[in-house]
Amino acid sequence: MNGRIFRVTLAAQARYVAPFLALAVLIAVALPLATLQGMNASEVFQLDRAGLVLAQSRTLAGGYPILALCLGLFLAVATWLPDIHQRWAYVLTLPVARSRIALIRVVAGITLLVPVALALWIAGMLAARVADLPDVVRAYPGALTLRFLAGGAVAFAAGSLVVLAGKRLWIIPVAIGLLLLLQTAGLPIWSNVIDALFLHPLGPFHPLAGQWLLFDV
Amino acid sequence: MSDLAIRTDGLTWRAGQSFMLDKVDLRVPTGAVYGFLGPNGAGKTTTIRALLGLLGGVEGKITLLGHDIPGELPRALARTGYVPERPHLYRHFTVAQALTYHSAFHAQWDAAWAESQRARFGLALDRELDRLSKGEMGKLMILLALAQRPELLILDEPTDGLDPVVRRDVLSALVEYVDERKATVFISSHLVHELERICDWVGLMDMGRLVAEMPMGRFKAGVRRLRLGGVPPVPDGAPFTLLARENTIGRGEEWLVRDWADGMEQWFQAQGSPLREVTALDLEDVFVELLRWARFDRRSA
Repeated sequence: MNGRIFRVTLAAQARYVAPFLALAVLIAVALPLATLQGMNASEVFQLDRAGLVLAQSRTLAGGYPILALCLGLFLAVATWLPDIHQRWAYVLTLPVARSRIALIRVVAGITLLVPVALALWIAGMLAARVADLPDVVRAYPGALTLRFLAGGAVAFAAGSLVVLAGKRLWIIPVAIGLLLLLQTAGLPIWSNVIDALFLHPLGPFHPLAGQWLLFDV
Repeated sequence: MSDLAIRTDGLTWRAGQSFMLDKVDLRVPTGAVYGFLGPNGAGKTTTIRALLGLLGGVEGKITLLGHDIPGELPRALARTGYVPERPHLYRHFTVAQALTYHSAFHAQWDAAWAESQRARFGLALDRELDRLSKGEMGKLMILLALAQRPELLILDEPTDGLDPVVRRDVLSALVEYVDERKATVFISSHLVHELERICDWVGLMDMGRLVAEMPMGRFKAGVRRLRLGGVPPVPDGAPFTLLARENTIGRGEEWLVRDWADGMEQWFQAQGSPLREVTALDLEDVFVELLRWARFDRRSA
């Protein structure tokens, strides 16, 4: 029965977010291909092509984490929104332990990142193939895709926590306000917290930070 | 199998400082069709939400089909069908999706019965729930609850706001199921006459308290309002049961009694209290009178 519950949950969530998912797939395909913009001009030489693609790769690098973040947050909200509308009455009267149904929902939500990640990977592979670049420049569609999946999953988890916090949500702005207040008072707690969350390799938001380059040397 | 499908002991729930449920001791016999009556705001829906583990901070003990709530909630819910006061299904589903989704969670789901009932109710598979009329939604809700083949049905005002035709359809589906399965039904309503036809037990809620609980036969049998000329003593050994009494300020008393039979007027003559008027009450009158007397008792206390 577990497998069937997961399948119907995944199908229900997929139908609910289908238009947004289609848009995310389009953007995921467009971003790697946009890196190649201007490459076909006949006056562009081999080395110039490398410089051009690296420059455009850096320009577009910010698009991937933004897409992962938006997609993860949107999927998180969409996962729980029907239950919020119904004040949790339906999901909580289904004969499944609450922890299990939450886990099924989360796994289904993260699974919905896969088609977008797949589109990104295929488009990245395609871009690497048609770029015809010197050996010094390398494409990283696989690493970018894995990073996209990790970033999306982190955003999904954070979004879910925020949604499920319900009335306790006030804690987040209060905590941020307190940290900022301490920062302005000369205690660098805010910057330390941000570093720990985003820059430390074990920080929960680390996948969303750093350079997201499809092409690099 | 336990003799009681639902049992609560001292069920209490507060919202802020005020009591929403105050020491409710429910006893719903297995196999009964139990009408849970009460005016709007009496605490019927809150009681049901507590039974289903939907409320936090509940005091007292709840047992559903022998399972402790909330400890064994999933096991209890696997054997319980629930129709809430307001439809709780996901509005973006179609009828087909709602059936598929709901069936995945219930091992005893009867797909053939669900399909035949859907056709009988005239519910189109591709209709979005958002576009269903109130009547169609009511039919779908009862269909989902019954197709999971539950031993216990908890129905919170399932026919509220439905037109008489749909109400009849919904109730007849329910009655057929109960006849076939001998399931226990716990049905809340403020429509007294509707429950009169189908229930064999009655519980009466008012202001968060269970005012009365008894078999329907006893609830209806021989309930009378008596208008007395004097103030007789407390009726020990009376041939009827005194439910409540109220002083009518200088004009004697009014009594609400049960188990009344012809010839009992003589008991008052023996007590020296003239019996001026005996009024027979139908179920709705009994309901209203019991509420009135319960509130009077509370004010007096």
